[in-house]
Amino acid sequence: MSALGLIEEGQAGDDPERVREGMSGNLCRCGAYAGITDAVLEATKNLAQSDQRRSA
Amino acid sequence: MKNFDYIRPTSIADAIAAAAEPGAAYLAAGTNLLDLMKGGVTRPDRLVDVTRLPGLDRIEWLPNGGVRIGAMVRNADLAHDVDFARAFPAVAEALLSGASAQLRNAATVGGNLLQRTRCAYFYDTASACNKREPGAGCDARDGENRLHAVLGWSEGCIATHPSDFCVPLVALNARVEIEGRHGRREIALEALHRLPGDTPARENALEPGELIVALSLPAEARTFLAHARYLKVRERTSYAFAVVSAAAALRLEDGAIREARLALGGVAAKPWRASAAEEILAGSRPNPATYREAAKAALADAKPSGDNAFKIELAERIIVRALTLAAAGTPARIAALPASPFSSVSGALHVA
Repeated sequence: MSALGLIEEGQAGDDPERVREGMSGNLCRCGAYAGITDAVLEATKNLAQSDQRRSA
Repeated sequence: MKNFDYIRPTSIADAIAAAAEPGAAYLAAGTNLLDLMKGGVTRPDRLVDVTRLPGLDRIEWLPNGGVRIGAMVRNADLAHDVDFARAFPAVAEALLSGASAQLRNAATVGGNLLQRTRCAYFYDTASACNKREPGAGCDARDGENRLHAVLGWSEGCIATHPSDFCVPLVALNARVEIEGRHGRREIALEALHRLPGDTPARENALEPGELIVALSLPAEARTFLAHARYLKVRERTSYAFAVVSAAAALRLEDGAIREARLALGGVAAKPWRASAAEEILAGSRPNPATYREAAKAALADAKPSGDNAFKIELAERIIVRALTLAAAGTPARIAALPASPFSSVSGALHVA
């Protein structure tokens, strides 16, 4: 949920540090583990690409 | 948890009438108050929910160039308002350095101003605390007090005000609009929070039932927008209160400091305006020697209240660093780690 909010707000872009900062504060401290940060970055990219395809 | 009445008035007048009863407390987002109630630290008989009051959730630009922010504007909405962040970058940076994204989405402007200290002895109902129970004593004096106040504290209380937001606000001469049974009044934010003295339970200038309805920043606060920073040392990278923080804002003309603003957070029971330092900076050249002299002046009256002498030198260093960063210019975009003294570039030196 945090990741979706983060991607929708578009504050983090492709910057892993901004993703980690945006994901901090979750009850579980694993919110900014490397695998999760990578997943958020990948999802951001995939969503942007599928948006482009839809509007093309 | 103690039972309480919950009232959700639809007008400011009704809210003030409902909160005038003894034992009443205003509830905004509740990011602090609900925790306090669950822990039995505060035990209100009646909660007056102000989140549905009309007209308090707007950011209004005034004809004179100032801005008026409704008390129910959420921290995140204010920090991400493009016009606001451009005009008052240190305030936006301070907001984004506080709490977490989820909390910033809920927490309000008025609630931030009135949040309580995070002193662990205030929260622990088994400990003596003059703030929670006047006359009980202060267990922080002989306790874990390395994060407590170094300025303006008293024998009765050494707690600090935890807000980041308030630090640049007090530097920029923010004002607070207050409504009560006898109408509306306005005071400087600097006059809102009180030092503990002999009455640490009396934390602010509000009379019973008075409600903060708005906060305003004057037009002249925008003249610092090109050189304004907030810097905050935390015990972990993110999601932590300040050990020490500083807001620095400069107006540079012809290579000299025409006017300076400086305030500290995490050092006292109120956001601490460093006026003596501002006077030293005004008219001086922006260089490290000037910054160090200003920092010494800002902490001239500081004294440790426990195992926290380190905070005095830390505050001096944070002032020098904040002034250096402010003089270098407000960055085009707020850093990935807002207000952090640490570089987000891996391998960079943190102590340069």
